[in-house]
Amino acid sequence: MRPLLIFALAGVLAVVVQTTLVQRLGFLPAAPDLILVLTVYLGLHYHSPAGAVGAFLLGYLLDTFSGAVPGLYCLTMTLVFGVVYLVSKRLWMENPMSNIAAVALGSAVKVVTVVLYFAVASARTVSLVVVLRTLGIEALLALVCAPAVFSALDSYVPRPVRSSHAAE
Amino acid sequence: MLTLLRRYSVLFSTGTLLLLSLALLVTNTRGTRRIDPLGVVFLEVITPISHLLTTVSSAMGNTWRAYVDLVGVRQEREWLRRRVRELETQAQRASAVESQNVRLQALLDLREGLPGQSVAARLTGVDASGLFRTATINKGESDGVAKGMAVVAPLGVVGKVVSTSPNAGRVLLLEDPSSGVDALVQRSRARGIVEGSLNGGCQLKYVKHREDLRVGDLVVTSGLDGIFPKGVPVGTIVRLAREEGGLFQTAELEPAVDFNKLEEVLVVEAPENEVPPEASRAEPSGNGRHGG
Repeated sequence: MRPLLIFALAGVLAVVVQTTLVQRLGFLPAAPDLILVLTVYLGLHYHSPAGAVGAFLLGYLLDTFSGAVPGLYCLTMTLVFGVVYLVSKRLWMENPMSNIAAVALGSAVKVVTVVLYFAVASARTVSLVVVLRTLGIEALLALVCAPAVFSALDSYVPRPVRSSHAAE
Repeated sequence: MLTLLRRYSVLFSTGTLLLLSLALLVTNTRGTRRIDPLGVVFLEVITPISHLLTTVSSAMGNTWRAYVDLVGVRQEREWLRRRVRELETQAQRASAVESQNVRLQALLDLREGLPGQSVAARLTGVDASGLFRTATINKGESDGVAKGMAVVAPLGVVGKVVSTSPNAGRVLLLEDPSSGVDALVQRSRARGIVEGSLNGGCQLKYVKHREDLRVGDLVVTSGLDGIFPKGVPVGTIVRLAREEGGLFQTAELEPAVDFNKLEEVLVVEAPENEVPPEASRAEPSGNGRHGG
């Protein structure tokens, strides 16, 4: 129950920061994608269906507070969770550097998904250069924020006992 | 079978959620109705927190600025410093109140000049993603705000309400690429559609090639889209693009409103006498092009 509450609170806090931070700190061209950092954390440490549902809901939260078509970030965050989960099952990812690498991997999955959506399905006429630049800045800021977010979550959320790597 | 499901439970649930997301995305991209079952709940829960944080951070910013202003008088005696701090804080408060009064007066003047009902609202947050241009306002259905209503500021068009909850609303800003406003060039009465672009500006498109456009021309709403009242400034032409042999010409606009400095807005009901029947029936779609 406690992890659920903490993740709900962290999700709300992340979206509030993302929707107010850029306005307050006028020099930032985009907000760090904290929702992505939370999703990567779930993918690294919560190897259960609840983790997948958490990632889906975080994506939905981002869909609600962005102009995206409902479903775009649900799909993106669930994919990020799936990819990070699969990688973390096969590689040892318990040190800070590999955590940052996981956030970079998650950002790459997000960039590919969003760019593919804009290129293939969206009716909006947007410049892919602008999309890539914005997503790049968001990813860079997420990488900068990731260690602090991971450390805060490590202190408040008890990590579940991981099953053996051979389980899946 | 059960053992297999249990063993691959994470992959199975992730796959199911991916399919669900894909279904949601495809339905909202292709359909005319927005399917967003949890959006209202999230909007209703988070908007008050966002509003509170904006207020608190604004107060903290004022306190910080007051502190910075006082660094120069550190050498003075303690009682004088306290007095100066008090006076500074008071002056800033008065200045903030004065500035707010000016903004609200402008909003009130605008409200009086507009036909139909209008609701004053405050912006509580911007888009959570850098790829879209939307904002959250602190007024919703209980205040009379409804989907499709126009949002304006004293300087001009802001956008259009695209979703609401009982106490909050989301506004698609003019500079979002999926926005569209029926507009006129004030001087020559040339008509076109203003669309946003992610670079921060917007463009006047679909203006007939023979129409007279000039840099510096003011573009205003035509009132023919059934959403925006007639004559509200949209922006000023800063560059012209004429294609040789093309049917239409395009102009880049500098929006009348500075979206980064926007605080208070008016949500305006569509003027009844200007609503064409097709426009009044149109529902904003999840991804389709619509006004605002």
